[in-house]
Amino acid sequence: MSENKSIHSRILIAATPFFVAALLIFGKLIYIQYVEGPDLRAESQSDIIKEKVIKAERGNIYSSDGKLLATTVPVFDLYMDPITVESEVFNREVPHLAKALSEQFDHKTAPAWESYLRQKRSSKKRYVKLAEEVSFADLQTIKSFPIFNLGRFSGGLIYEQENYRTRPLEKIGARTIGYDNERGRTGIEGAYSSFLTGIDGARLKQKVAKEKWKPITGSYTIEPRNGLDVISTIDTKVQDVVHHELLKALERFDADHGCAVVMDVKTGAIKGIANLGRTEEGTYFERRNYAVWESTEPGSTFKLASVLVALEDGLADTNTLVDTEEGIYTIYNKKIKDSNVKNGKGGYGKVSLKRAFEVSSNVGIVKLVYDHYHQRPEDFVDRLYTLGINKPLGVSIKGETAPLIPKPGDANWSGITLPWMAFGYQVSLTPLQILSLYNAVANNGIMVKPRFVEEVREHGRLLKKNEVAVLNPAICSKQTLQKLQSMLNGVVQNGTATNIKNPVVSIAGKTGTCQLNYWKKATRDYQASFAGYFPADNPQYSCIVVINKPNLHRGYYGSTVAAPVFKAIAQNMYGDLPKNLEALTENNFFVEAQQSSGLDDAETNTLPNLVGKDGAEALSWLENQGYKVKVQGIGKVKWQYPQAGSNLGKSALIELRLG
Amino acid sequence: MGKLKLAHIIKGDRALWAITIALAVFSLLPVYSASSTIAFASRGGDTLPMLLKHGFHLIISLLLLIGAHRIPYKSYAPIASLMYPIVVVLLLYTLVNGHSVANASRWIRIPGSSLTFQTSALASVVLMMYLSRNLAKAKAEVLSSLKLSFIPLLLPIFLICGLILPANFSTAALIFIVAISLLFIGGYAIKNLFIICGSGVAALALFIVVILAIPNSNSRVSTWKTRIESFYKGDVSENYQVHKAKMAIAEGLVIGKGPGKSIQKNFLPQSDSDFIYAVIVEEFGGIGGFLILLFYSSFLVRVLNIARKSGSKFGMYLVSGIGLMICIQAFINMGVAVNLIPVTGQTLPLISAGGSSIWMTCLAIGIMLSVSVGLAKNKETQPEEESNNPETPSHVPA
Repeated sequence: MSENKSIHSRILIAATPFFVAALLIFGKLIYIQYVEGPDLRAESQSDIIKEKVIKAERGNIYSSDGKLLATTVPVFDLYMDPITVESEVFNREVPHLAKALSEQFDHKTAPAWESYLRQKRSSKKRYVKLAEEVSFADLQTIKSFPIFNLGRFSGGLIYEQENYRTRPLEKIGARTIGYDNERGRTGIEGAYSSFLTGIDGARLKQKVAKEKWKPITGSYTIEPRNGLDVISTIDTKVQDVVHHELLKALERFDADHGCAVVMDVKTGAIKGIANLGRTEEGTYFERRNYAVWESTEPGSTFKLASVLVALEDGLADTNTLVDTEEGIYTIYNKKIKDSNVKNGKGGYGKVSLKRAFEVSSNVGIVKLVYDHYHQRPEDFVDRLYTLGINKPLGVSIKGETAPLIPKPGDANWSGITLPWMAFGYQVSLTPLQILSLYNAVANNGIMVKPRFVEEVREHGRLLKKNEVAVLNPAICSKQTLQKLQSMLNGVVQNGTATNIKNPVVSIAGKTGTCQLNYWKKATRDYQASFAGYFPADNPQYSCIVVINKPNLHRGYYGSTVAAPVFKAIAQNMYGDLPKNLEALTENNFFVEAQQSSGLDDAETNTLPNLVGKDGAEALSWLENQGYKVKVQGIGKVKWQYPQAGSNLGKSALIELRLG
Repeated sequence: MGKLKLAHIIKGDRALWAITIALAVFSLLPVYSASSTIAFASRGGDTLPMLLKHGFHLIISLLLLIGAHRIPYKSYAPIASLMYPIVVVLLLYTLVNGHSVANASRWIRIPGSSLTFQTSALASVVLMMYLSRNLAKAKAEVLSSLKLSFIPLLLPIFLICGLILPANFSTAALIFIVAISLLFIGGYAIKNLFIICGSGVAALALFIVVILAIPNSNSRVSTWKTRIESFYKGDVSENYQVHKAKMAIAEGLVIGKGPGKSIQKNFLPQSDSDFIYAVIVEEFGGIGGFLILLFYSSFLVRVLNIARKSGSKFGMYLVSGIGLMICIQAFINMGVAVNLIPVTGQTLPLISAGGSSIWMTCLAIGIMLSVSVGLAKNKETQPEEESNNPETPSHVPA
């Protein structure tokens, strides 16, 4: 019994530490709750309850004709955790997965995918990159791949959502639509960033598991406000034409870069704007916003301003005789030459100012300005300044270069500054700034600010409408305006740009051929331009085409390089406007063409014999059939390529020579 | 009627029964709640299967409990002799062939089922039975001699602990501590106990030094290494769990957040086993934590009570060995949760999810109850008798 007693007392001794432990545990529990408690509780709250940002959706950018120019779509970056997949399943299914992946992402073959995944798995990688920026639809497909179809935890597919800004028209107008990201803010995206961005919301959320948060309250702490939609002035049909016509010319003349802008005369709305630069591979893409940014000496297109000043000051009239002599004029030992000098027979002799303007005689315009203003150059410059062309337009999108028009007293003002300014050198303007001047002439003297955005809308509801901004209500008198218009008309009718005279739409404008970097002996680079408006008698649109550094062997005159782009744009925009007329000619012509080619099938892609047909009729019929047509000359078709009877696709280019 | 029937099935110490049933029923709540993270992650959020699984384990356990307590406790002596070699073989098999969880070969799969079984849990019970048998049989000179006690007492301990050690250090250490305590209770010479403990500690120290010295040859070693290192250095990543457990305890305050409302369970790995005590405190507050402590303390009191009343040495040893084994797990688990001791991976007996752990606990409690049943029988038939005739397992009265 006593032995049992001693056993029992030893059991008590052995049990004592447990009772002590119980007290210690409870003591520590109280200590944690009340001594460390406040800190721990605060930390716990901050760890698991967070104000999570609810991203506001960025607004869309629409064209004026209601097409999406920029929108945000969710895309997914895909990763795989190969470790989470059971090894038996992995080994059995990985060839099938690799095959499916190689079909989806063909930059790796199936064996390459397989060895990639196996290698990553054996090196214990848990975050293996599969693909970036995969669409939601593709993600659904990928989720059904072998292994991945085992679900998120057994299949190992990890996807992270990103918002991706996309332009449904891709490269077209890319620079003008712009971007708003870590690289900066450009174009409409950048200019209207504050409207498009919206306001991020916030909501209190509680962490329920790793990477899983559930909302605590029924409502937002801060209601997210989605970005507003911006309706741009760009018309996709015009934009498409502008883009492709410019591209064709750049390719044809192997030029470094160029831009083309179409503006609505009355409102200053930019209907189309293309800016294309050449890559190292020789292809073109929207490289910089040349129209807004690139300020160069404009050359002959600036003669409009010079003549305007002289006419407005009453120093000359359109019929005032100017002596262009032999096409060479020397001031301070510097020679100013007309472009026909190098052909041997220089100058145009004594001609009217209108004629001198039409043929773009440098000597004629310089003498007009120099003779009247060399004693008082400030009057000439002041008059230019009153036009407002010395100030930036202040367009909404970023990167406009301020114009440079020197005045007497400036450090770089010299004796030759005034005569050189007269024909567009020693001044520097951007294509858009030149266009505004031409637009003002077309718009009865009212200079309006070019606009890229029409309206800002929220869920279709109009919030803000951009009004027409008048920069200068009258750049000159009505009389001067009429004279300028007739001179610009004359350029196309009788002057340097007769090659763009066409029966579809009347054009008024001015060519410009400007030598770039002329102070450098070694280089001979040109900038070919054409600025004007159409239809000439009732201007609806103004347009400028500037093409830089064309291949000299293929042409460099404004008339040959830039003007045809202008014409193509104008014709494309006007070719389908007078519907009734066209319907008539189309029918007549079609029947005739079919008969002459001896074909009955109306749906055929066979080209009829067009020789002898009226050029305008042939052109409009072909273009309505969807062909791209290149026309040279005026009158009846005398030559066509491809030949009659050729079977061709609708995208084929058809060349016609008229005469 | 039902009461009468129940009385036929349930015998022995009523208080121990009550504590066991209360803990088992209580286990449904936190296990169900703590498992929601696992269910959310792998089963699309359906926690019912987890609850059913736990309920199923409880029913099996109840059957084991009833079965075990109906066997006369003295039969456990020959059963122990039979089971001991089987357990050794099972441990060997587990070590070589076991089903790994966290790089530890601790589990074997029960043939023809998906159930896994932690062999060390069974081994601890069998070792206590076997030691109790040999201690009760041992003569005074055996108890005072290292040499004589080596075969019957020391070798069984070292063999079992040695086989468990490579896969599960903490369990081996706990079994060793309880086994030494049992030797102490059995009147083993204190001086020798110190020698054994000293050599055990020395062996452990050597083991730790070797582990820290050798490069990470196997990942199990490196797991120990980081655990040992992190406890002393306060390594942030390893202490993440402990920190989250403390947050849970701090959040619970007096009455807790209510069943299933724990937040930290979502971030606590092993929230349904190793750190379940922290989840209990978060959901049921300091009161809940206190009650659990009180239940286990009462459990220990019952152990002492049954041992005291048990007339036979074997009964005393059996009850105290098995009782202390359950208690040490419970207090270690709770100690880990309140960050008194480093993370060990011990379950909270009866409450933690995990099938074989509950089975073995119930089996163990069943054996203790069987002793209490025998005690009641003794009282009925021969009260205050058989003292100087210590029965040995070789001639147990039938």
